[in-house]
Amino acid sequence: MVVAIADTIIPETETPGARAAQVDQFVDTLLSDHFSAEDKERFLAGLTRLEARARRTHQKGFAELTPAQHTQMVGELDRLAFQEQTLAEKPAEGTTAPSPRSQESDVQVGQGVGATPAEAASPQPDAADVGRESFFRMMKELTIVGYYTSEVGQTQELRVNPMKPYRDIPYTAGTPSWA
Amino acid sequence: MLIQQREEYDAIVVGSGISGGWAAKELCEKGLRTLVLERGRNVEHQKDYITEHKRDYEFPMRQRRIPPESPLAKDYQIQARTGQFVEAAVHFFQKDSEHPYIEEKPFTWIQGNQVGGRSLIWGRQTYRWSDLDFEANLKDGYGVDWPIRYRDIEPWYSYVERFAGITGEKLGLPYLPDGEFQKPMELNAGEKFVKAGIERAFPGRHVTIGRCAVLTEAIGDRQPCHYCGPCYRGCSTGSYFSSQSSTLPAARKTGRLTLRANSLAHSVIYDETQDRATGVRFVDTSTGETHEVFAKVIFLCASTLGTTRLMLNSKTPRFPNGLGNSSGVVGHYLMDHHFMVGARGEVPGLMDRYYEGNRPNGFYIPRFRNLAGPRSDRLKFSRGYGYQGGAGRAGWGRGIGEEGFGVELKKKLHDPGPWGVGMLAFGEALPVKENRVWLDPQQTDKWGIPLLRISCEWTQNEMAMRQDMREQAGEMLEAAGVQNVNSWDANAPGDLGAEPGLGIHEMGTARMGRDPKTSALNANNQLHDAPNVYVTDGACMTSSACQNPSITYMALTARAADHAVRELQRRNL
Ligand SMILES: Cc1cc2nc3c(=O)[nH]c(=O)nc-3n(C[C@H](O)[C@H](O)[C@H](O)COP(=O)(O)OP(=O)(O)OC[C@H]3O[C@@H](n4cnc5c(N)ncnc54)[C@H](O)[C@@H]3O)c2cc1C
Repeated sequence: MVVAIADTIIPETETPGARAAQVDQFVDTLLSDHFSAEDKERFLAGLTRLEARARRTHQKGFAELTPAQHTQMVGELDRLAFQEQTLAEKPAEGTTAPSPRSQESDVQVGQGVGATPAEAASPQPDAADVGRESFFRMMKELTIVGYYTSEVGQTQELRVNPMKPYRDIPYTAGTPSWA
Repeated sequence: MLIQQREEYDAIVVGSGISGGWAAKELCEKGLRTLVLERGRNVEHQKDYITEHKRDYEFPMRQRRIPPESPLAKDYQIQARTGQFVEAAVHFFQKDSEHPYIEEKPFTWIQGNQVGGRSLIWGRQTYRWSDLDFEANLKDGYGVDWPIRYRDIEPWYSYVERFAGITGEKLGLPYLPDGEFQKPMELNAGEKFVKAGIERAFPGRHVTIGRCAVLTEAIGDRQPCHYCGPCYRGCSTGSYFSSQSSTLPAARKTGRLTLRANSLAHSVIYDETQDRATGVRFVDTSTGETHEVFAKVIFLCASTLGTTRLMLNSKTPRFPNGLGNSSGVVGHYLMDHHFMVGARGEVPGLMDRYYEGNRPNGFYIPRFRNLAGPRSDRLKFSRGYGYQGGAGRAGWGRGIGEEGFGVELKKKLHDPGPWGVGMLAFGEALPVKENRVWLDPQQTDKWGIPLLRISCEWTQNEMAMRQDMREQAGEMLEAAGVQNVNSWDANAPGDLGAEPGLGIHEMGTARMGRDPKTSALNANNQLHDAPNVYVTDGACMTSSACQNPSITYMALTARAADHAVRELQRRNL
């Protein structure tokens, strides 16, 4: 199930996606060795809710749904998870250091992958799926970190910044970012 | 069990970090047979840099910061408070479970516990002090007057800089003297934009590339930086200054160095009949045995609070309050730099610029407040602060905080994002008596040494300064044309966030001074009360200035070693 969500967040394109990058193994490692008991519970509860929702709506487990259904359900979670974002929020933990790599951009980028009418009409979303503390925010972060720090992410999708004397250089759009 | 065999050296150095490494090198090179006692394990240059050049995906947690809540931080509850406590460097931080201390008020004591101490993981920023700093106490009345001035230390700065290798840009500022610099590193396009904007809007303020102990030109067999990025994992080309890359090999080359790892100094031995310090008592932590070693001269370089604890634990009839503490100042006047306050924002445009290489350095904005004296700007605070910062293009991490997924997200994160810039202030803290450490009367560590109790908090002056640090950071970025500027301050009085200690520039608890009644050390870093004992780590500092302090510890150590050897030759010790 984790694989299916992760692969919907970062799918295969000309380069491999989250599945090939084994993001699910990374998620497992973090859950078992690094997460506090509380965060682990929050994460697992989120998975359980999503699974129940898949069975309610589609009479199938999440992992067995079609790509279109995955996109629809993940889209709904993504929309809910960022619902409060327009309100002034306190900066996230760990983004206070001036490391350019860790700076989250404040720009809102609407991706247009919102909820379908059917989903939007579905019953009140669970409060645990809304906003910064939602399961999906966790899942999305784990997927993005897991993918872009994987060998696939660092060497096929992006590229490794070489060990060369530091220089200010020109850039053309379409050139991959440093990993 | 006490091992009775009498071992004698010319000199004993306690600690092998930045200051202990320098003491060892100088004393050995000047002909003294020197024993270095280091409580931690041995770390061999190159061989023991076990994470160097590993890619993120070779780490189970992908090279994350490990916060205190993580089960992995169980033995590191204090160390995990710093953002530098990351998966690739855990083995260079001490285990708090083995070396506990007691916080009366939040104080984060970040420590290395190995040969090389914190020289392996330090940030390498190096800035000289000036007379603006050495005269500050005298002029505004906080603390006591420094017994030295810039001219006393100036040749020693040059001496240690030429050996350590410092990259930087000369600015000709009297209040931040230039050093013996190697070629500077380059600023990137975002930083050049910010520099131009700030210098245009605020004449007299400067943005310069950081001055740091990383080679851009070879020194002996130490190679110039190869720009791999994470210095704190150890550098097998010896491109940054550490005890391993620089001072310990030089000491070893003389054939006069004995380095003893796993040797925890317990106390200094004071011979009442001769009325002098004669040696050091230490515990071999691998066997639990206590040893005594003897020497003519002793250098305490166990880091500010390590040395202070050792002095306080060296109680004898002559010194019931700890070695060299007839003044009662030992343990008091604890300082650190207060930071975790600054601003960040987005640099507009420049989408056709990027950078290449992993630069272990950022920019620096030298102090611009109270430049004619500690209160000359008539602000709500005395003294001043500087900023460290950097700019870069947002990477894939920006995807975490934004809506969107699937092909669109992947496409967006493929290219670098907009430019961001951030900067962080480091401010001077005043020496106040109430900020102090002392030995707990009951609790000891597993080797029987009393635990240190620490009580330290920022004063009104620091709080007033922080407000200015935050405002000026925001104003400067805005004036430079940076957008969506967000200024911030992580301080939460009484709680963690910007608590004392987190700056990792703790100092001042055995200060230098002119008067033995109000200071522990004289102008040569000798204990007033026991002149063959020198303290040359941060404990000796009479004020804190706002510059990163380690280059000053290096210079004072080399200067003190020179003094010690001359005094020995004159038979004065
Ligand atoms: C992440 C980080 C970033 C930093 N960045 C900078 C920077 O950019 N610029 C700067 O100037 N400073 C910086 N510092 C601070 C710098 O590391 C210290 O100022 C410096 O290392 C102090 O040198 P020292 O020799 O006094 O202590 P240390 O380097 O800490 O060495 C002390 C040694 O003594 C040993 N020891 C302690 N007690 C005993 C005992 N009883 N018996 C035997 N051995 C003992 C310890 O194990 C240790 O090896 C940074 C520190 C850290 C951790």
